[in-house]
Amino acid sequence: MTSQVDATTRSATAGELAFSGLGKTFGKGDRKVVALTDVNLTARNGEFIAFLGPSGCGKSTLLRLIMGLETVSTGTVSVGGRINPEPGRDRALVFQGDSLLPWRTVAQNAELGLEFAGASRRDRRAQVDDLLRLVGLQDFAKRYPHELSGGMRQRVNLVRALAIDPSVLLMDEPFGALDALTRETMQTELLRIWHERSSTVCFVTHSIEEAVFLADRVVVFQPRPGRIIEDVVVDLPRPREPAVRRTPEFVELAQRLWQLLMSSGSLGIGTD
Amino acid sequence: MSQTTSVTRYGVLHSPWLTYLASIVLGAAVWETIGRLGPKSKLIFVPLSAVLQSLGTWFTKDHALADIRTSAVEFGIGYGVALGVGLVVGVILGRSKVLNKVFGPIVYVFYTAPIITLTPVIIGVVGLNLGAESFIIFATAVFPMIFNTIAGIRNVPKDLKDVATAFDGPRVRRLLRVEGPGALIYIMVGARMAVSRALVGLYLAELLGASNGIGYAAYTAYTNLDVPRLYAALLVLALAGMVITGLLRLIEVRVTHGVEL
Repeated sequence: MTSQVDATTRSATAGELAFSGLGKTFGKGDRKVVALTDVNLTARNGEFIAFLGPSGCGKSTLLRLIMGLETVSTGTVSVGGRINPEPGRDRALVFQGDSLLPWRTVAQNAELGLEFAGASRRDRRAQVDDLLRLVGLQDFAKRYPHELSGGMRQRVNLVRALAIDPSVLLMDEPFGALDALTRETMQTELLRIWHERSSTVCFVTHSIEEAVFLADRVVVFQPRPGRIIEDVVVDLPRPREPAVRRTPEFVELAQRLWQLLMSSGSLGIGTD
Repeated sequence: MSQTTSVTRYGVLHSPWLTYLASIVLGAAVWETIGRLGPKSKLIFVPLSAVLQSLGTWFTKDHALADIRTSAVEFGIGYGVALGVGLVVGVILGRSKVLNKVFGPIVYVFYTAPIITLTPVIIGVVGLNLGAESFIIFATAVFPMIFNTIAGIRNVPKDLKDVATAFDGPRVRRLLRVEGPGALIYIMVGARMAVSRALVGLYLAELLGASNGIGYAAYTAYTNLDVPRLYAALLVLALAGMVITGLLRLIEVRVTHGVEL
């Protein structure tokens, strides 16, 4: 497989996603758990989609299926026209925990994907230096993960994924563990970075506000078994500023999503 | 102590070398005291001073350097090959569920069984030579190495394995960049266990079939009722063990940068 480092080599359809009758079951017999059932959805190249829902509704499983970290039980995942692809650097996953390698510095962690792709040391450095500057970590390149705050580690996690310039960026509640202020800063930064690139983004969250602020479309999930119950278009203008959260359109959308989650009975019984 | 030093009263204890030295001095003092006050029979225990004196004559009159060289070569070959083979076999078995199911129990049997009992057989097959002694050391050291490497590879945190998979690492790079370092703590435990087992192997191999070496010197001292020399040989073996584990620690720090995994 060729390296995905050069954005200009990417085809206009590389980021297209399509799920058809997609399902995932874990375990066998009595211990069988249906994590995800009958998912049908398509995403255009460069679209920002939020997967919204309470814990245990299969959102993370869906990301892992797209990434190829889990095998599909029924139906298909299509990434850029390829059916049920193996893991590859056309996609990148921003892990829920930061999942950094503790024995590597910030820069070395961020370079991992490029290193796997066989990029030269100089190219790696150049690419990663830019991104670290973009997220304000340029002075921490030589530090180790344990020396950083949770928010900083999560930014390294993001940079590691962005560094391979994926066609599809998969984000699994990346800001879930951050404090409110850091979280809002990171959301704004993410949008800025996304505008500069043409990646398709799948962003898992259980925050209605986060989903509406970031996404073009919010896909609402329901648990037991995990499935999609609604696909809501967010037609707020871009670029979005933090102040958009106080506009009537934003509040109305958030209200509608909240009612969807409530009426589906998926809240209040979340055990996960 | 001078009052002008900036070292606080307890700060001095934070220097690892000083605490190290203090524990050695303490140990030596206890040894000497027990040796002088303890059992009357000099066939059981002797004071440290007598041991050091015997150590001195071993070097000056009884070719200690030749003994040490012989043992070091045997140990170096046997232990070195055990580390390499143990690492490779451990990684292969650790990464494959099927192979681990098939060969894991066998490794476990040999890991717990005292391989050392086969020493006469090995000497019978290979003969009395450097090869036989190295092979015995290898055979005692290789199984803890395999066993712990398997455990290390299998216990690399799942999220780190997922990172390696998601970023589509080629097999060798994944091993060197993610799984190897992730398994390092276990691997180092294996390497350290292998040191102590290999030293026992060394002693027994020389006891049964050598004409020089540290183990041979110890055995000769025992048959001659030269107890101080016996302890002197033990002291040299212990020192060798410490030096080797110290070197292993240096490797560990170099890979992990002292970060707790």
